[in-house]
Amino acid sequence: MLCKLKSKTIENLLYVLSALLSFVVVNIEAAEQDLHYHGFIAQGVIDVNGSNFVNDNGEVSSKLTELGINGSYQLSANLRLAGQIVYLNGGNRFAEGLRVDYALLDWSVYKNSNWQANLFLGRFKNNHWLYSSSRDIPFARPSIILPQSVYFDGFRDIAVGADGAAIKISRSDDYYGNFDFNFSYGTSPISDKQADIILSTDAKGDVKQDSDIQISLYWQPTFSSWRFGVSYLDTVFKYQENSLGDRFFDADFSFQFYTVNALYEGESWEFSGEVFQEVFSTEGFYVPTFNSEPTGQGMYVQSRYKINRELTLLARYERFYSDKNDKDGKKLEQETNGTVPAYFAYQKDTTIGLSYDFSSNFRLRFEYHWLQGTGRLTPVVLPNPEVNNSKNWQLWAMQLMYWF
Amino acid sequence: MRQTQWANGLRITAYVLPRQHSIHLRFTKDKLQMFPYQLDRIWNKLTYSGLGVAPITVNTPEELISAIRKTPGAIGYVENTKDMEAVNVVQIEK
Repeated sequence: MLCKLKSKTIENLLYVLSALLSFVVVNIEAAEQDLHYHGFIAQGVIDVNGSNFVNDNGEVSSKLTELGINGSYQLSANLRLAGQIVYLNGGNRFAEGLRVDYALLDWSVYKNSNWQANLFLGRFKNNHWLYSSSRDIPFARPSIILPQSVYFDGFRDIAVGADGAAIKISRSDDYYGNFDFNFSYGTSPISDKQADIILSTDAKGDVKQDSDIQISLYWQPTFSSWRFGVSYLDTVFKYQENSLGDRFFDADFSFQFYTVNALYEGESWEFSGEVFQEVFSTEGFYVPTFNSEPTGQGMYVQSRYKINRELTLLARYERFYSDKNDKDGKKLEQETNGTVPAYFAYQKDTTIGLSYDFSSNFRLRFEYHWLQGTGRLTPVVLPNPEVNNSKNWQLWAMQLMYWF
Repeated sequence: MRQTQWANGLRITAYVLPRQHSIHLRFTKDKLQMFPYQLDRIWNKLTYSGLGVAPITVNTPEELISAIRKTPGAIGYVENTKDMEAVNVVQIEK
């Protein structure tokens, strides 16, 4: 009851924020310094050979569309409204369609020359990982397809943000450098399509997120090109079987995710990487007595080299293991009597790419991925080895993007 | 860099030139001691993730001066200081 009331209140708050936002967007007479609006449009082509990452038929796809429009309005010295609506189409990667990306009230609670504290209420973006808040912003992320180990598209709608409250506290001085602390608490609505992506279309029941707590801390030493961060996520889901008939049973899922990251920004070279460990616990679902708690691991290292002001090269290597005690997947294959091949236990990706800036806000990007393993393909809970019958697969993608 | 208001409480509104503009590239590197793409990362995050408000981009140095003249508490950068009525000029020595 409390949960229902809470989600209704948040839904109402989102409607009010959206209505206010559309009002301020049309009210173009407002002072320029109080109202800001921006947007982006990106379209590309993507070709995947050997998996159903984007489509089932393996043909070149134009399902690489990202559009967004946002507004920010300063209500008073300490209060600001902000919102963004996006349209995404990534084929099988995530649910296609229009969505409220964020719609929030930003309260600047405290600020002086060293400290700044903000409280965000409403729907906010995940600001805890290196690229989590910009994963849908084509020109603000390092590649067209982000490292799936951390930024798994199958979890996108849940991981991208939440409805609730978030706090950001920043401290900076010339001695210790810059510190950013983030805390967020909320839940994400899970659409039927998102449930299909995670659990498969055979799951006819309801899946709900009970809570999502995230904490992160970033530190950039004074005048340093390095920035370091750590984050922690703890979330709980519940699955309620469909009483009219369901292949699956009531279940409790919990997920803990710890990351450590580093970023180096030099004049020509940029290095970044994230390492994580996750614990994914399942009670029930397959059979009422089922119980598993594998510890997964993953990492990526990435480098970008700026040849000149227009051209940037990218190279990246990443690894993901769904169970650190079964890195080659033999146990998975044995336990499923051979129905799930061993290569579903991991995924490795080697990526090269380039991006070319035609102007300050017009860019073309191209990249090629060599992949081994299918551990980061959907559905997650019930893998599909019939379509994904190959251990090695590749993809290339090209995307044109404009922003203002 | 992280200051959002002046000592008297007036909000700071920053105006900048497009990210590939030669004056912007020079100012970022020589005066802010940062690389332009670092500013892009920080400002894109503010603008497209709802976390805050980035500086306002104008197309030319003339537009930049005109915007600063019209906006209380505004700041920006110019290369030469001709025709600077109604704005305060602070010369930054190397």
